[in-house]
Amino acid sequence: MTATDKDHSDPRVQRGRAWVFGDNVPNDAGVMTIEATRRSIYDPAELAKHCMCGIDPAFPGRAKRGDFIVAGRNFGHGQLHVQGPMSIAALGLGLLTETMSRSFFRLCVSVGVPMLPFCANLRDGISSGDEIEVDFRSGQVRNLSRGDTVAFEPLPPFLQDILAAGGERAWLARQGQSR
Amino acid sequence: MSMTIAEKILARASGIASVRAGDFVWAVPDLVIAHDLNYPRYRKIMGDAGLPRLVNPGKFLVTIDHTTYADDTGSLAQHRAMREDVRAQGVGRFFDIGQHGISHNVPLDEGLVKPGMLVIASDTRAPALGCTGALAIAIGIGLLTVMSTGKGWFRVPETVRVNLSGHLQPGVMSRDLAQWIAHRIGSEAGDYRSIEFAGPFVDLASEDARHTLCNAMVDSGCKAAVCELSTADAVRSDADARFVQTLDIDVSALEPQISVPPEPENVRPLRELIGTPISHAFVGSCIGGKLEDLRAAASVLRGRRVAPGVRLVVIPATQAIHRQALAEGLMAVFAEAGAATAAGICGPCYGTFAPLGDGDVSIGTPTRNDSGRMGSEQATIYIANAAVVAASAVAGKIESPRSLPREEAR
Repeated sequence: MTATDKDHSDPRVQRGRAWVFGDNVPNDAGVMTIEATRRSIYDPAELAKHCMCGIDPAFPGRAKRGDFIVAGRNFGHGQLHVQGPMSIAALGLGLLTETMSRSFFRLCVSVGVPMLPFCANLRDGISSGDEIEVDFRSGQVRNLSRGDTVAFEPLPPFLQDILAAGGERAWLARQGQSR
Repeated sequence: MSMTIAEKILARASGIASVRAGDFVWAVPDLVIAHDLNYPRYRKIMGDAGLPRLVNPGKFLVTIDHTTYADDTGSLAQHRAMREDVRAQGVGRFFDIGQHGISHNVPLDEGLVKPGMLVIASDTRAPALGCTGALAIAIGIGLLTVMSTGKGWFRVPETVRVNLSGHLQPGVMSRDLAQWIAHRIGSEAGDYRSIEFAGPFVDLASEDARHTLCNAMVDSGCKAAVCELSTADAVRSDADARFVQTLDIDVSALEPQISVPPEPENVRPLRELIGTPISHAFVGSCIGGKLEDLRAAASVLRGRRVAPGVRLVVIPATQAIHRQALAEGLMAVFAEAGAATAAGICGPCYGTFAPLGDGDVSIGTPTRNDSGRMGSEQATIYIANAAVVAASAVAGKIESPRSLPREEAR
């Protein structure tokens, strides 16, 4: 299948509003409450209610499916707790960061969060509320509100495939079925 | 092209001539490590996904180290399922109860981790095995991919080079140095990086000390920590390899440290905390239950007794270490001092076997000191070297070994 950057049937192109956050947003108490981990909550719908509440308690009520979390350096640092990435996936959000902590990046691959995790100077071109369209295949970020396009490094194709499959577990299951 | 140790090992394991930081590769590990908290769970997920076969089972090492002493039927059923599965799959090495030990230590007892190896595990403390010059990476549930396909994906890390020189003063142990360096590097500089230890101190340090150094780096968020040794088979960074940061540290002036909650990197000089009352003391865990730690604790406890009101728990990290400690008479010293002992388990560092209750104040050698780590969230955890832990257990308060009265009454 060939797809243009306007092909919205491909999950690797996503359009929505940008929600801009700062540097060093922690996983625990930032992306997700510590209680969610302590109580071993794995229900996506429940986790979605608390996404980013450590920074902005109103966020889960305002963010819409297809929107983007846009953040600075060292996003999601701290313990290897999967509830934070699960909450982002559950809300159907994309994730753009200047740098992402190693643990959070691995977890986002596990649960299938569409992302461009290593975008230098990302926030120079995006403000909260901007309408943006991201092609995860090419790394192109179109800012429709400002009318410009910036290209960042996309993830390698194999990781795009894993994310498009819905995460590492779903991707492996697909391989199991194809045998 | 010039490369760091991490770049060289990941290139070799990926079958590529050269890689550089930021590249993504598929690499085939030389050793894969799992334990009772992840192996049975991941095997079930694989079965449900239609992937029942463990790929390259001969490279797997599996231990029972977290729930070894569990008495609930769920854990016992898991143990039984593990035994049957590792036999059916042909897992290379299985350390069942009796031969068990903590997964980050057992491979060293067996001499399985060679310089230049790529070692992959689920559990977070795996980078400790970089002490032998291997690249050891913890990938959590990403291990599923390695178990199902025989390979894993990795982003080649940047490297922070730490050149160590000088000699530790008497009474200062590798744990003091390790926590102090972790504090110095910090999580922003450590995250996603390979931390390379080099220099004359590293070559002189024992394997136990190097394991402690690499283990403590985990809290900086690093991908790996690796020692550059000067042995013939060692993998070394090229002279013009690219480091994002280079630290030159003379260890000679360091004094004993203590980690104050809520994070291990939150270190202060020990002298600032002397006199703090304690109710619990612990020598054990993957980072603090090695022979170096047991010998240091026993040297303080010999001829002394644990203070009333303090529970001292001592746990050699593996059965092999336990056997050596028995041969050296160390376990007898602990028993005579009034310590509770076990062997080869994570114990209180996983909140089991004599864990902390509400209001407890513990000084010990666990991996971490965040709230709830060793049981109750209403407990306080200080991290210090094993000799300081032993001295504090005797004094009933945080104490330096040098300040204990000679010939304490028995």
